[in-house]
Amino acid sequence: MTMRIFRKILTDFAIGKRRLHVTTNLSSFYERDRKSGYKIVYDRPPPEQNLSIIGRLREGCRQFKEEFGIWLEEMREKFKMDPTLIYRSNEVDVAWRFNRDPKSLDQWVITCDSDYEEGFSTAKLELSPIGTGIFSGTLSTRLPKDGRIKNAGFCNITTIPKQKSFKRDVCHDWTPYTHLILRIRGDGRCYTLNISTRGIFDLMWNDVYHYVLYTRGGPYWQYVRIPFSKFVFTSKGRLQDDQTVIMLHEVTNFGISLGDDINGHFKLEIDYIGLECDEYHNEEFAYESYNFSGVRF
Amino acid sequence: MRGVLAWNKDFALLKRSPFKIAGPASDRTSYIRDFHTSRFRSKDNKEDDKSSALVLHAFANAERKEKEAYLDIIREYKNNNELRRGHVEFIQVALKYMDDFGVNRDLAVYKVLLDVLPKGKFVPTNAFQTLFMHYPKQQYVAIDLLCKMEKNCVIPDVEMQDMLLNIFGKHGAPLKKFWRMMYWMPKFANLNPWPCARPAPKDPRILARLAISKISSVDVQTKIVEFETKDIEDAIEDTWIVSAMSSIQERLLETQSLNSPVCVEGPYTVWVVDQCIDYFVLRGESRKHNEYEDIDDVSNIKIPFWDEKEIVPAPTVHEQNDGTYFAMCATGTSTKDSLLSWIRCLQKQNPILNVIPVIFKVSSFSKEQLYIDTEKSKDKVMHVKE
Repeated sequence: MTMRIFRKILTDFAIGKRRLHVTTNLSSFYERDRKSGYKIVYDRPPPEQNLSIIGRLREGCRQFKEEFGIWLEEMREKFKMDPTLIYRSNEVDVAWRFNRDPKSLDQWVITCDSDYEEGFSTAKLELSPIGTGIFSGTLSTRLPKDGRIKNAGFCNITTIPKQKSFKRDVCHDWTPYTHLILRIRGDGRCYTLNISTRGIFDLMWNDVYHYVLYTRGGPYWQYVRIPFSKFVFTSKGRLQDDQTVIMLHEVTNFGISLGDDINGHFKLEIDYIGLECDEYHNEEFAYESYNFSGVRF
Repeated sequence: MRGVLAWNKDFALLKRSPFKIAGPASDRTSYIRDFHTSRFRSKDNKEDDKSSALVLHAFANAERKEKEAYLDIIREYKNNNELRRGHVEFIQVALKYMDDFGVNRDLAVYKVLLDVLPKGKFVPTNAFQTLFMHYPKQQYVAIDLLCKMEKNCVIPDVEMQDMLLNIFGKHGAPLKKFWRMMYWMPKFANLNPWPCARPAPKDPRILARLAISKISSVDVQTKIVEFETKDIEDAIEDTWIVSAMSSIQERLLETQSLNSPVCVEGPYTVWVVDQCIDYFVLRGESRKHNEYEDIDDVSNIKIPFWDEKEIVPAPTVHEQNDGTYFAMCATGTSTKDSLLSWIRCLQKQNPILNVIPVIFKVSSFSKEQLYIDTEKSKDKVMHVKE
């Protein structure tokens, strides 16, 4: 008994318990994972399968067969060598469309700050009676009282990454196009269009190109046509000094987000999102591309 | 500690009247500064040494939350307060209360607040000071102030640059932030195709007019008319109606078949700056247009020589795929009676509305808020569609 008390006094020594005071500041730009430490939240959680070993083998074989079929299709396409050569102007190639098809909703991931306990906004994406997609919800700039969050209030929809056979991620190749086309019906609020071109190094994981989408509101459809040259380069939402033209062959995701600091409901109806090539659009980049190599900043 | 040492070492020096610091560049500055501060610490000077807690609570305790009261608090802090003790905390608290006092979009107030920081004191004098973030807390708080300006869409001006240069010198981090702001903010300041003054007007009638003109900007021929319900004979309420209808819509309404009814639908919402406006539409069934013909289909070739020649006019912008929109309005009360008055007002210009059956599909109102309560939105009563 006395031994135990003695040991406790020895081990629970106050100095031994003292810890270094660590602040939240990052000492380097090293990123551990692609989500910058945010937890993974599912809109549609993957189905849980409790399979036996035989069942798992069978499931694997089934998936392999399926993927092999897709791979064969890709190979056939490759050896046919029949790419689109002429992109006529005013002809829109639709990239995403909600065509009364509930499966088209699976192409999108809905995110808002309440998913990560950083705010109280809610958002949803659903089909309207006439078959278009409706991105709606409530934006709230109320801060959670954790003393860490300074600004709150965002809602976002992002496409899932494009995949080829055997679930390999690939980029969209939008090089032949010059314009982004949207047919939308908004509510008068101001949204942001995000095109992320995620690179392989951690420094490029958060590269996103942004542009603003002003909506008119009202019952009339709005046809939005934005040249890719107007998109500004940001990383983690911060405008970069060294602006570059968007790499259209490495587009990984496209997203629309709302974060205009106005509390209240929102509704954005989307018919389709498409791409267009305008041969008379010669602007490469709308912003000054200064050479910063000699500037100490 | 330093004070105690000084006390032991050089007692007579403390008895002397305090030095006046000539400039930050003087060689003996740091030495003099030490004595200077310890001198002030040892002195029991109530006037100079204001309790900063009292000033910090001044924002919370202010009776009138307005610009003058806000400036008064800053003035109170600056007056007879040469030491400006706790100025970082003061600016932090002042930034926090800006929204409450409604001064968050006022450039002059930001300048007054930045003026709290002393000039010349934080300018680095050698390369090492520049390298290792001279007076980091002060620089961070100035950056916070600039970020707050950026968030509230306030573009700084050249005077602000001069102030920042005087406070931090040209190598300061706030200057970098400032120059980035001055580079980007004017680029995006006038992007909005439907600009509106900030803060948004408070009068619902002006707001409704703004909202209706924003929606009807799709057709430049739209005429926006304001009606008064008291001009109508049987109107129960006395309110206003902002109505929009273009000549194309009038022509469309004339050609509307008498069998299919038109509906008054709503309320739908549209946002003007940070205000939400309810509007109603007069909608008819969507019109059938000639179907798209597959030109590659050769099974049934039309020979145009002995066909009747007919010209199909292109559908107007008001013929959407979910209906034909004839008119739009926003009323002061958004009630069924005001909408009935609206139809009566439209009847003068469009006599066909006397004959066509009009159906009112107005969803009921509730005072329940769709909003998450914030202190700001409490005074607003929002009508929410059920």
